[in-house]
Amino acid sequence: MGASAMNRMNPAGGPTTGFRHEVLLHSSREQLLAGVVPYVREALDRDETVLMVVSGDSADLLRAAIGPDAARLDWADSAGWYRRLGPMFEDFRSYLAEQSARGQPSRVVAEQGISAPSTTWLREYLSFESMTNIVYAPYRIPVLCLWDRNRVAPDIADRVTAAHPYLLEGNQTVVNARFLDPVDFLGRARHPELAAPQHVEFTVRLQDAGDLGAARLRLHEHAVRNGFPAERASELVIAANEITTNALEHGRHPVWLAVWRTGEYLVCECSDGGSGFADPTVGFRRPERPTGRGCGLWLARQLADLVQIRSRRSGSQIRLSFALPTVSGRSSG
Amino acid sequence: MGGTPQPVGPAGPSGRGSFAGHVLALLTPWQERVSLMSSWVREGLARGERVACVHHDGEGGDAGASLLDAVAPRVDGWPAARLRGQVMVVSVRQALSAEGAFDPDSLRTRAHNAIDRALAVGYHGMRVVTIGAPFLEAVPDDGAWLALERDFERMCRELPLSVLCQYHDGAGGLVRRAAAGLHRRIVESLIEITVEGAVVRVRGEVDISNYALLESAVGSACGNAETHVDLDLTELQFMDASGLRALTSGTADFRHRSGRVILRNPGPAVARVLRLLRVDVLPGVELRQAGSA
Repeated sequence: MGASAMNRMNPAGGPTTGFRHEVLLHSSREQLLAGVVPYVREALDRDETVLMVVSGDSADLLRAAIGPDAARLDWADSAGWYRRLGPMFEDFRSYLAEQSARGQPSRVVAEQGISAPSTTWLREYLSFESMTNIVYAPYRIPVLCLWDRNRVAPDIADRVTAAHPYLLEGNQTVVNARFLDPVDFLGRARHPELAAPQHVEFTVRLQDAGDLGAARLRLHEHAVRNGFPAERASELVIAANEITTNALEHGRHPVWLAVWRTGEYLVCECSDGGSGFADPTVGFRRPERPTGRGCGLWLARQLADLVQIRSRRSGSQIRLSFALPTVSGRSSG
Repeated sequence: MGGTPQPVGPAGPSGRGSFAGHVLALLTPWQERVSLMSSWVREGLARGERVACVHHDGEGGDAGASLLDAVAPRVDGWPAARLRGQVMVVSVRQALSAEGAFDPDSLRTRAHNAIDRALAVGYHGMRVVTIGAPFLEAVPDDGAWLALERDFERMCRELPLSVLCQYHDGAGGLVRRAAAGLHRRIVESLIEITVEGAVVRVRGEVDISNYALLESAVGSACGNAETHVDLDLTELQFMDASGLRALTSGTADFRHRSGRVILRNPGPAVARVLRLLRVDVLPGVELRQAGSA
């Protein structure tokens, strides 16, 4: 598996060809510095632009270690990262596309910046991480991801490793034998079951497209009743409509919509008896035209705070989560 | 979609300033068909028109009941109107011809005669409500059906004639595809579309259940247009990706020939999707909000 994955990602062999997407899973400051400082120096020696999207703490550490040359790097606070993964992925892709178009050699050092991410959120984040191997590859801009091993559970650390074709060990970039190609990474067998809700607030059964209008109305009303401002409620309806439409068109009737609250989210789940998407990489990239495949799912990823997909032979579920407005009226996160 | 979305179709608030002309209704639910027909008849009575209800036995929802049996009680003054001849009930068989066969010339002549007679006795015009399916079945081919609908479209524009054609929603591809070019207004469960030359007005919601109507309407407008098509989205509450596909593909050839498509006044929910999918920056497409030039 590892060998064939390696071949798929890196046909010409060697870390300097293909998309140099590597991860440094560090468990100490020393390891962090031992990996990042030479990486940055290499870039500076080659007159590359370096974007450092790291936490404030890491920035302090790295600036001190790099010295005066740190001023030549572009620093951005990773706390500015969005909780909403779809737009973040797309905006970052857009940045890479711009840099690539300019022709200025660059590289990026990135550290996930959301504070206290839930395991659920991390898992979905890592789905995007894996998809960068496909979506960001054409831009050929090296990306080094920094993860603190002390801050993630072992199973998440394994997923982090599996999402990257290269590892930074010490100050050496090496091919990752445990890398999983995105299709494998995102594939059926690799996700835990979605936790069943404690209390479903309502369900809608859809037999055909004619049932969508009434479903939208109910969803909108429910969102507004849960404190969502009109515009956000509309976004919820748009996202839910798209995934439900997919199920009606490609899944098995009847299609079910279930809605409930958790502490943090209003959740809308669409399920049907079909086997779901054959290709798990669908919906991560903006389609070329509105006729593009995966358009509805892409829209859902842009609008929902979290999108979880489970496709099994016995049935499929797509769960959209929308952060509940806080008391002050802003959405949390 | 701010506030409570208003249902459209017969149940919705009417802004039907001109609930007249050649209208196509694609409705399936029994209640909606009854409701629309009742509104149509009431409108005719209010305008002092003679109303001809073309009915078809047994085509109704419940066993044996016809739509007219359900409509009559919903129209105030129906019995009196029937007695004095303002409301006429005609069977499809009579409408088609004595033998029930399709004869378009005869149909046109009888329509003209009916209008003349109505005007002669003091009515302001003639209004017809009919089920489309029997005509669809009676015509020898699609071309004949299209020609018939085109005739009635012209008559409704030139004469004091209004015709509501009701097709069961499952009437099929031909009706949906050709609909917009042949009817000034299309009424369906979720959407109402009016096409006047190169201007299209859309009211309601577009999704996979009805996007084909939008595609047909914009295609028709593109055919009527010289330099640009005006798509008024002021009252469009919702549009999904399939609606956007209909918009882009329905106008593709026109835009390719340097035609411009103006998307006027989309609400926040519609604008959001337009922008996310970058339809607003497609060649030939222009988004215009109220208050801008």
